[in-house]
Amino acid sequence: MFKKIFYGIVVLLAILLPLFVGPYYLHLMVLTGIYCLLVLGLNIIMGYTGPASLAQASFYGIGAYTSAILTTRLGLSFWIAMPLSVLLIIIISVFLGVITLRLVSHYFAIATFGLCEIIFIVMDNWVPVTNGPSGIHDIKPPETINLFPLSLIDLSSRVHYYYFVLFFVILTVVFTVYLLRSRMGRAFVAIREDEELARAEGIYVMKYKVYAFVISAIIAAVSGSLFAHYLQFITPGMFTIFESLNLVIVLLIGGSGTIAGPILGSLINVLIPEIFNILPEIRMVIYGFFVILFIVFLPEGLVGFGKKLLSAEFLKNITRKLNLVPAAD
Amino acid sequence: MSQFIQQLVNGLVIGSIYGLVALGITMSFGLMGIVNFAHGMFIIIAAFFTYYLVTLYGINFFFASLLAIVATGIIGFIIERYTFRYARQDPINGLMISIGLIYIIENGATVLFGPENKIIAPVFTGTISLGEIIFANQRIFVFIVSCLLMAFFYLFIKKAKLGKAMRAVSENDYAAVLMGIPIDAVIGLAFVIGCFLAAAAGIALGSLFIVTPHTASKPLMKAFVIITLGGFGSIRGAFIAAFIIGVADSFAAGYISLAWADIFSYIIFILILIFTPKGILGEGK
Repeated sequence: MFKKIFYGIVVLLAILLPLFVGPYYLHLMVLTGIYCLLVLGLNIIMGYTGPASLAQASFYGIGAYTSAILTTRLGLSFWIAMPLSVLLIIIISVFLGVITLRLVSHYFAIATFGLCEIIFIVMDNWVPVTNGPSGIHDIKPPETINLFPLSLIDLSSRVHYYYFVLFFVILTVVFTVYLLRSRMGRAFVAIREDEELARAEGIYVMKYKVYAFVISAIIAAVSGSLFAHYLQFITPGMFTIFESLNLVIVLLIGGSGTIAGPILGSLINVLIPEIFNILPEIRMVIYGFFVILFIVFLPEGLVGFGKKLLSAEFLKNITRKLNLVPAAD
Repeated sequence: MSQFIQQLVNGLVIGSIYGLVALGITMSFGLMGIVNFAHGMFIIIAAFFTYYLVTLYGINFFFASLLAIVATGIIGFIIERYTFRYARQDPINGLMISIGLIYIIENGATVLFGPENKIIAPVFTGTISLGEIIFANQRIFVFIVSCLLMAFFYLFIKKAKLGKAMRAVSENDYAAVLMGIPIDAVIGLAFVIGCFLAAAAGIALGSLFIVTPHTASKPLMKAFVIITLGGFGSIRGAFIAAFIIGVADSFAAGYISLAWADIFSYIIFILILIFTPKGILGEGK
């Protein structure tokens, strides 16, 4: 009950947000939303199923590039280009997943690291298609659909785009919640907890890992497509291995394997740099220190730490330590 | 023909530098199970140290290199003691810590030293020419020193008591503790030795090419390709793979194109991970 009210308040706040903040912060919130989608996607493979994928930024990049190329070169509508980019990502991720998911633990991480590098090199050097390092410019925002209730939505406006992204974030969260209750979601968690045991229980581990990989890639492609049409220009430098690594860090700081973790993590990732408005390099140094402190002291992430703080056992221990409650015996 | 030999020689030189980096990563992987992406940062630290000592303070190159290598070792020791030691149980956490370190060191170096290209003045100038083939003296020097360091390292791991202890920890750390090996100290030392090698690689790179705070990423990624090709944790494998990758790279850059050259090594890398994850010698874990 308490939880439901809390989430209701969060959603309400997110909906009312454009009333309170100026255009710049709304811009940041749109970026947060897009980032949040990416991390929610990563959460499905890394947080719930286990393998740490470093290819998330590549799927994000492929989604963004496909959608951008289809709309700028072939003149397709965004509403056709986005599903097509999702379709492409399904094909690519099934293929790559079947190949790489046979590897376990950090071998998988290293293999996806290689994939990410390969895809970056292709984006950076395949000049006739991707326009090389200078990237693609003048990507149009999504067109308005001429159908009555939808024709009111004008996605070239920032407020409308904010709601558009928010819609996808809420959709992904709801999807994740229902996924976890389904047979597939339970299989994911079983694989994360103990792969051997899951196999012994009769779960087809490889199949479910590929499913998780593909789902996370689809979410990344949607996010990439939203990103390309929001920012209206993309360059290969936005989809490097460092972006992948950053996504993993954001997930771990927020708390992997939780719903609130990715949201909290991406909020922190976008907003903290803006609040500490200092040289980007110094900011990154501070960020690096925080990452290490988090891994060493709070490996369960902020959400996990919050849960621990609120758990009955911890409160009891604290009160006992502070001598607020006399010991039972 | 002369271009062929020229590329081959360049490949061997660059391969020997990659090899130094790869051995360090192999050590931290074999002993701690940590994929240390931050290993390349020791390259930058040592290169900048040497650059400043040589250029600003006019210290002799050899003495400056020695100081830089020792300083890098000390920094490495501190890093191992206060960060990686806490991540030994969980390899993914080790990976994350190394990313945090990359953020700190790469950006810290940009703030402290600036993003400009720097070059360490080479000790040996001039060239030797054999027919049409030209060898720069500095390159020959780098190649010989790198090979000597690797050979020394190999002998150390195989013969010295400490080296044997390191191999024992990498085989089975629990059994090593039971045999009375102080594993914290052994792992710390192994990490520091890895830092020494990376520092030597950094100085070599700085004296042949240029140094910027972002120099480290390429040799680092090559080093990962190398340890995969050689088999994870296999020192002999890394040694051989370093030269293969160095030469292959040099040929790909010379005959195909510089931009697309990298993609071949990554494709090889993934194919090896999938089909022969034990590496070319089959010694990997």
